[in-house]
Amino acid sequence: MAEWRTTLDARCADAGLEPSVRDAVQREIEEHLSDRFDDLVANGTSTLEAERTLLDDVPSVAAIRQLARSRPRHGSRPAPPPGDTPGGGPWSLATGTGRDLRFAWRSFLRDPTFTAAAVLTLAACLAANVVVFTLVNAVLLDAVTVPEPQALVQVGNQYPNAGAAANAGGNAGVPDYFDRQTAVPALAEQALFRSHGVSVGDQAAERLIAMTATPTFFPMVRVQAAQGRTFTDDEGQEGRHRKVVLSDALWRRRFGAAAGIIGQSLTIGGVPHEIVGVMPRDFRFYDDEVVLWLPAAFGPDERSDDARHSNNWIHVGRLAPGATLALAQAQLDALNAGNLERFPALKQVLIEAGFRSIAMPVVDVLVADVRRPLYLLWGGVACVLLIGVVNLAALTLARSTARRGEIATRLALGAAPARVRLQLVTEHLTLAALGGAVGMAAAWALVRGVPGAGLALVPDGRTVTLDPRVWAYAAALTVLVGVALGLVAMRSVAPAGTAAILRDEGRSRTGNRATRRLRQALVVGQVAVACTLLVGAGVLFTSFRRLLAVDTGFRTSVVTGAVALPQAAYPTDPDRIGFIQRLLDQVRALPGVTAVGATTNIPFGTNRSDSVAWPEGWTPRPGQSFVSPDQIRVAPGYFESMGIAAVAGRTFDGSEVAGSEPVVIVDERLAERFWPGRDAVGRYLLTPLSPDALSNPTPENLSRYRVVGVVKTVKQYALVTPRDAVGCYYFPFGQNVPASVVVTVASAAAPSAVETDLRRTLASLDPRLPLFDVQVMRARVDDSLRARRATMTLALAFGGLALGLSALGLYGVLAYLVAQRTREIGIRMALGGSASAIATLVLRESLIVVGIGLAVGLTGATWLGRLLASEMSDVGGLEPMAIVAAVALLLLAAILATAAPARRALRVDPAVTLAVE
Amino acid sequence: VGCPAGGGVSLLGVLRPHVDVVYVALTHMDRTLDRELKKGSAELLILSSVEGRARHGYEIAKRIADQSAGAIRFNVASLYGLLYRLEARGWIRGRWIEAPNERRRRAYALTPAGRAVLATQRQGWRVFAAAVSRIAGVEHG
Repeated sequence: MAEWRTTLDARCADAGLEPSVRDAVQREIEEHLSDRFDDLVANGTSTLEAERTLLDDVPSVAAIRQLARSRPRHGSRPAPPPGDTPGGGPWSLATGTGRDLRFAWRSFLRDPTFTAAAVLTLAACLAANVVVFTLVNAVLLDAVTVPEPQALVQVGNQYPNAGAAANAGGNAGVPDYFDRQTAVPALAEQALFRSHGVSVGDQAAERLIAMTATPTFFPMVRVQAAQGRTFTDDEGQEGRHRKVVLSDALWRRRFGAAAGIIGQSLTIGGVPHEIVGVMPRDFRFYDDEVVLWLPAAFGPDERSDDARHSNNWIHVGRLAPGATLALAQAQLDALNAGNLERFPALKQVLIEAGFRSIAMPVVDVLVADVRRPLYLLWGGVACVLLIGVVNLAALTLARSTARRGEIATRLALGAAPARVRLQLVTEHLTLAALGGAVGMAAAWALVRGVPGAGLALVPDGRTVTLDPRVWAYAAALTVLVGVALGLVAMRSVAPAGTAAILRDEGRSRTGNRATRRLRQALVVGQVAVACTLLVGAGVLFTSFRRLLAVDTGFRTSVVTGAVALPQAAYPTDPDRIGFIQRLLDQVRALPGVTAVGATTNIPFGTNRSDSVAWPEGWTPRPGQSFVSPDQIRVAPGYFESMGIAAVAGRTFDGSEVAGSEPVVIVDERLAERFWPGRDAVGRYLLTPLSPDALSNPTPENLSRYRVVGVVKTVKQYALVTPRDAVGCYYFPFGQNVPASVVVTVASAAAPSAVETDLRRTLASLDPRLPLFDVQVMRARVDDSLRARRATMTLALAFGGLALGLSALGLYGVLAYLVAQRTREIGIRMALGGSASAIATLVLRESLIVVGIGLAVGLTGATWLGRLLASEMSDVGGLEPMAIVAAVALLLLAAILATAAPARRALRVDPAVTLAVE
Repeated sequence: VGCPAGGGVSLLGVLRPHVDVVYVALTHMDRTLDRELKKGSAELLILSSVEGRARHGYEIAKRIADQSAGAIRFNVASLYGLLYRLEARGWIRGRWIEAPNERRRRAYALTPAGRAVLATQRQGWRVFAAAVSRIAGVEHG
């Protein structure tokens, strides 16, 4: 071998290069020197002389090393020329925006398919996000609109072992309020309040929602009257409390916004009240339906220690400056510990019941029911946006590959890289803005026009608007997406990076493989997220279907309407029971009516009451708690009209009157709890007249009721009964006369006819009394599902969107595969590859991506199912049907997305593809 | 061999501060000529050599040597170092070519970006050469 060859060989070996690099470098130098050798010899140099010359030409080890370092790596790109060129410089950055926008517009017009795909994808994703944010904004962020809402704390008594279905946050009693004013200084200002219905007006009164509150209420929420004043401290005393503050809405509606309303009189519950103030238009607190406020005046009974643990009020305080929730909680705990010792009779009972007073931020209490579903929806819709953006990023990459030449040329012609980058960002921001604008329009239409689009998650009376916060959110998302896409596109200006792998680099095989891997990974991610979302939506859907199939235990065709008897007109029990009986008798005689009854607590209504009761002969063992079942009063005929069957004994027949033996009917759940396996009829149920009856029952401090019947358990508050529910007992009206009832009418006539008849009958008995809250039972049940249905509808919509977007992503990656392997496919076909083998190539790729995506997605779905089950009481967990449906849908979408690329692969013409090379 | 990294009198508007080692043997030219000038001219020479069609390394070196009547010669290391760098910048692209009865060779072709750079460099060179001539003319006058 010639000496120069061995020298080159040795030096290349000494350079310590990676074998592939060394081979390439050495081979090229060798060819070069061989050429030179041939030339020298051809020109007459002797072989020996030529070899000596060549030996001098062999580069040094250092030079070879240096040389190898200069070699381009795979995926490198055209280098930007220096920045200091015409068109660069900071000056033109600011002035070039207009030009950039025009440029962007032209580039969109050049590529209308890309533009349309991008704008539509963005619009759909942004609209979905804006709709959910609008709800979040209206429901969560606007839950409390008074000044400094974060400092407001609700204190509620909770008895977790007593089976009482506590309201969110829990309620409090009047003695608690007076205790806590001194014992909990962390709450500087405190107030008790509750909302309830009132009859307003003299003739043909209307039923409105009022809030009775201590005079401390308005200073605590820090809202003053717009006209007149709020309550003075002495108006919280009996005798001076006939005052009323109106809402702006009521003032406008009922008084036509008349001036000089202050000082006028308004009849409430048959008693004249003096109007002292009108609240500002946007004032609302806790109950959006409240239109008037009354001062709370507590009598001695309510203040007495016997009223402890009669929790009929909401207690809210404002944290003192510097005080924390934890401090308030510590002071509450100390107060309660002291009270346990002060009232030893109740100590053990309360300990067993798990009694505690909990301080919770008002903001959390008010959104407790809707917060979790909304956050879940928010998370879901963010995933949809992510899927959409991944699709757009893939599109942008494909497009910037196609534009690589254009950009390289502009750079080479002297455009500053910063300039080109700015232009790319401007272009994609413009694109995002177009998508954002269309998305906002769609969101507006959805929020305004589609009643089921989620507005059911918003409390009645709350307006949902695209307010500045929503606009800011939409703008922020749009800019984020625009910049992200701009950054992706920018990779074709910057040095090699991920984008270089993603980019269709052409010749380099490894580049192709890496590109494909990354795109596959992205689509796997998309399929996985879509799968998780679909299963989640499916779980909500199937559990909702299951809810709809739940047997309520009552007849849902029953027409119901409420009547309240004012204290002034019906002061005594005989007055009230007499009226109720007359009313029910006349309604029973109406045409079509098959049964009539009445109750204080209509199922799926707003009233809720529970009270401690226990079976005679039972004393709590250590670790056992008293329970507080639902206590409901009903008229004879109630069970018959509602279709609630008696399973033992009898129902009320009207023989239950004041002075006769006290009787009670229990539902099956309570009967099973109190007399498990035994016949409840004929046994006795005890209720306390004062708290000491719990620890020291005597005939004097107890009421004793004989059980005359057991009825089927009904769904009283919701289609899903909490696990710790303890059941219900019913008292007859005749022995326990109510002031406000809901009449229940089973009739063959149409509900509207029944309502008309009911109103006419009531008016004939007492024209002053309004019939209110008239609803068919089915509507009450449906109403309880509003939020649930809206959540499910939105989740299904987002799941569908995710499905479509990931199908597009899959289509993209398969089309890319076919485009990349056109030559291979052509060769295979030329060599006699069968059509099925070619189709298998595409199908396999599709199956791998979708298969991994599904596997990952189902893992995510398992987690989401658990999350849903823990956050939403009516979701049992992962529903097999939901999984089957999600997988089937995704596979169907995958088949659709695979079909077109597969067909294209089969149409590859070997002659054409091979000629291209 | 080479000039310090970061050296940067930008004569032609396309010289980049981080272009490191380029050695051009200008055998019959004044050695005092700025090294930057050589670097810049070397790029220009190579880019113009592959303008018409793709050429392999030896062919490029031979063409430059022949056309400059032996005045400009590249040694192997600097020639391929420069070719690799131009390729890394995307201005030229190299491909192995096999032809019957010939050795395998790597041929370099001008890319669109390279073509644009070449045009810019040519213009820069023209401006520079004209300026030098004018100054030289004034001194002689």
